[in-house]
Amino acid sequence: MFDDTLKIVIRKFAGKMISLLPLVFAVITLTISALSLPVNGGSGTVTTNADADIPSSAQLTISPSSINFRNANPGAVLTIPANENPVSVTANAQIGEQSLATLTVLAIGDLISGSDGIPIENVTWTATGSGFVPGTMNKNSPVSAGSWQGPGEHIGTFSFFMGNSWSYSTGNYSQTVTYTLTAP
Amino acid sequence: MRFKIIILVLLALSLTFVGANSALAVDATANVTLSATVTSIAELTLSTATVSFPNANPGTVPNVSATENGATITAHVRTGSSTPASLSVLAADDLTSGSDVIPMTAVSSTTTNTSGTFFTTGAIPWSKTAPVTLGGGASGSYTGTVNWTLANSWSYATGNYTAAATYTLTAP
Amino acid sequence: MRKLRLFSSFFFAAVLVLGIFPGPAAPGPSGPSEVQLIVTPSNIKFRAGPPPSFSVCEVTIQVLAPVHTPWRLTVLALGPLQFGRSAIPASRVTWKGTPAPIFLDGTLSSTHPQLLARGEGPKVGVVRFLLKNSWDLAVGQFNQKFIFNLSTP
Repeated sequence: MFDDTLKIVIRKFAGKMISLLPLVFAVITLTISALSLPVNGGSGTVTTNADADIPSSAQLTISPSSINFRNANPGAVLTIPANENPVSVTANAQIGEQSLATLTVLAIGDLISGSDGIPIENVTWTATGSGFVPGTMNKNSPVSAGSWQGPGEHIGTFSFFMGNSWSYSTGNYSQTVTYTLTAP
Repeated sequence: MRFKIIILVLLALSLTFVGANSALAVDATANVTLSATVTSIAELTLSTATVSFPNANPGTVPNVSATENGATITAHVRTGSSTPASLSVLAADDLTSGSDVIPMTAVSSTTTNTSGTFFTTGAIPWSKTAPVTLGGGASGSYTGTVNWTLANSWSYATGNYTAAATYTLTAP
Repeated sequence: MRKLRLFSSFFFAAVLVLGIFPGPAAPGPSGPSEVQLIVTPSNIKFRAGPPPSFSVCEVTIQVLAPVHTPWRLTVLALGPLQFGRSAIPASRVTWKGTPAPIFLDGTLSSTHPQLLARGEGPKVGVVRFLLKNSWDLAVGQFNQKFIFNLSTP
């Protein structure tokens, strides 16, 4: 009884498969034909689409990342150059041809030693390299340090200076400034 | 109709997403640490190195002004915010002429602040035994005008009296 | 069931009549098919990472040919990869083919077809196309067509 039922099911299934065979074969044929081209004793071509998705990227390197200003007599040295000058800067931006990559710097605060402070505006920098610009540190709003149109690798230098003054209290001052390279 | 609307809405949403994605800005940041060392330093200048008191009648001139009065004193100092700088003067000895003596306490100085506030105002008698404070304060650059006075007396023996005194500006 | 069978038969017949049926079994105007080229996938996609880097797309190439039938396979870009007015030179794309020495390494060109493989009879190889990303490339969704040309003497 069970065998008979099974045979009927198999027969029905086989019948359906046989009836679908031309359709299945045609679909396989079309699939293969979309990807291949016969070469009949001569030459033939297959054309493929090549897509490349290039997203925005930015990379910023400043070396060294610790900048030190030595002690100096304000009567003799009005502006103290950083020991590490010149500082190497690499700003790489992968952007659109018409886009503008910008480099800005923002100080977190004044130079601090305990409760004493030296206004961060006393720190300035000069710049070399195409697109890099000189400026004065600011803790309230980002200051431009460079800009470039289109993608590219930009190498330059910054030289930092601190205005000297008798009014500074003695101490070991420090502060962090953050450079941001934006690739729109 | 409903199907078309759904398609249009999906299309609009996909375009919005693509637009937002393509406008995504990428940032790279680098932190730089700035450090500065500021140590104590003091510089003191006095426009004259000698102070001379002319002879004068004690009956009419009880206080003799120095010829160099109006001299300029400049104090440049850097010190800790909790350790004020100080300016003092100490005489090496009394004014002497051979064995004759005029006590150093007869000499006093008055300093007027002309730039900043550092110098103690009013007449301050000098001493040979302990430094006399003439001013003090925080880091800065200060300028003043100095006048010296010798208390005159009939008791002084005649002679040419001299003494050395040292001004000291201290930044702890 | 009868309708389905009828539709399947008609569809298959239509495929044959329209001449889409590929491969050696399909007689061409110049005689019976001898070799056949299959490139999968049909889209070469590069997803670039931050420079400097290489993005890779692997393609399987299947040459169906009678034994001892020599063939040559070349590849040519129809131009630089384009996105608006931005372009990536075709020479930024290189490839490494395996197995050697049938499948070769090379650099793509948009001016001259470059030899990708040569051999006899049926062969299957894998070609890893590499796109060199560097900071001077503009962002965008670049596109171009690559032509694979299989020829026999």
